[in-house]
Amino acid sequence: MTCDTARQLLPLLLYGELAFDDEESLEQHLAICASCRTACEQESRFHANLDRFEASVPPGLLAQNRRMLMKSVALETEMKAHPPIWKRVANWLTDPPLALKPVGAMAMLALGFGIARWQPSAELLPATVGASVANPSIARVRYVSNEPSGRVKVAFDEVRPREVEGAIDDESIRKILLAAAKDPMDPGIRVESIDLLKAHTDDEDVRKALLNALQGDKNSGVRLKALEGLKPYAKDVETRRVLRQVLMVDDNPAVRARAIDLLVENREPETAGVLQELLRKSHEDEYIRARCQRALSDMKASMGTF
Amino acid sequence: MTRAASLAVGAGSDHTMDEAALIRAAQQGDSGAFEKLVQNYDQSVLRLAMNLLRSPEDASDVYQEAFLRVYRNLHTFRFDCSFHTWLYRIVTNLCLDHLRKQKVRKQESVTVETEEGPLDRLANLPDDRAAMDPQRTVLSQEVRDRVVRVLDKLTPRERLVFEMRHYQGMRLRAIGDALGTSEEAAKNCLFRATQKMRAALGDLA
Repeated sequence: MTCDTARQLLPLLLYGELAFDDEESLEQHLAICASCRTACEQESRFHANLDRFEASVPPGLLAQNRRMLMKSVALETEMKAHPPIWKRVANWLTDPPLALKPVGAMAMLALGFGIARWQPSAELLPATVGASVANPSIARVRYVSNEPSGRVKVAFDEVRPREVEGAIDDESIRKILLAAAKDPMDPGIRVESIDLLKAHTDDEDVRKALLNALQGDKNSGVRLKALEGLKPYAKDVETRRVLRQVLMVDDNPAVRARAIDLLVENREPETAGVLQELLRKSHEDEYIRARCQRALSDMKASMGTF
Repeated sequence: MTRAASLAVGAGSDHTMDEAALIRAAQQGDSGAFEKLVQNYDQSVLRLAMNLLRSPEDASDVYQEAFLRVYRNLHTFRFDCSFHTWLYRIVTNLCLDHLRKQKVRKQESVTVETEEGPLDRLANLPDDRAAMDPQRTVLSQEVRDRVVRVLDKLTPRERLVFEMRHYQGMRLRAIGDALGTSEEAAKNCLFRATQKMRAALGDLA
């Protein structure tokens, strides 16, 4: 074994990760080569020195995480046991009970036959409307008129399901996601849209959408996602204004806790005032009180207002 | 906790059997068994995340997300691999995502500007061993920035393999399993990481 090879293998020797044959050869080489032995001792000191730079886990962080995790698990268990109605309906539709599956299949077949039987023939349809839109969902009828030929002409806006695919940087995709982030019907869609958008907060529209969701969305899951996305903007004046407002009015402790985390990153006097006010108001929530007290103590601010 | 899980935990003679019983109990919805399962591993998960991300908030994010994913997907665990490997696949993926995001956002600056002047983020990390020896504290302060800067220059995968081997003491085979790669690839990663660190911090020897 050459000295070059031996020195390259030294770190793996110290980690005990050399193959048996390599370790044998290296040890034989070290036995006869004084300079490689010195290099090995140096490598060993270097190795030991690196141990000192391991970051310790702050006291209490593990216990705090265990508590938060078990709370989330309890919440998920509760949600699983008593899902909201929209979720129950969606589950029932996507995965109906086994006994109903043959019935569903028969119903689909019957529906197919029925539609094929009742679908008007192409010559009955106006020339401008294709067979694929024979059964449209009508959003708005613009006008109706009686034609001299005795036929009726109707102009309407039609809603049709569509599927598009593209990169999130694509403007049209982003516009759709921004609209979906405000969809009042489905919190699940809002959570997923915000989740996709939150990595693109350099876009002003996205940031506004996250701020709006944080302030106004009824669903705490959506608000938490928006908070995640706003993390890089914890120093931004508008974001901080919204965070302070959220801290005072949001009814969800997890949202308030995350808002405290973001706010205390910047030690500004307004934050201390808001935390003191929150401390005064939140008598029941021990966890939030503890977070406020810790943040105020870190900021070297008093616990009460005078 | 179910009777089977309690008996398994109480016996304590065969760790693998205990764990299998805990997993089965947790799969059947026993939250006590799930909590015990978490507590068997969460300290090392949090330590790894803390070491890699050097931020209690980010480390907590990884902790919460990892164990919630375990909770949601435990029913799909079929004992094809060890629970440790399965858990670390989740944890390492999350850590890699965070590391990549951190690299992009360049959030890893050692000092941050605050209203009270520049704040050394690393100085806020507790170092119990150094604190016991004033001389070591001074030395640590001087070289810690350098060590962290060098660690930041490693690729996320090199960084992860180095942290798992050096600070977590995991074998390269287990690291390879967790990262979905071979032991040899993990070894090459560790080799590159130590070479880079040695080149930049050789004077620490």
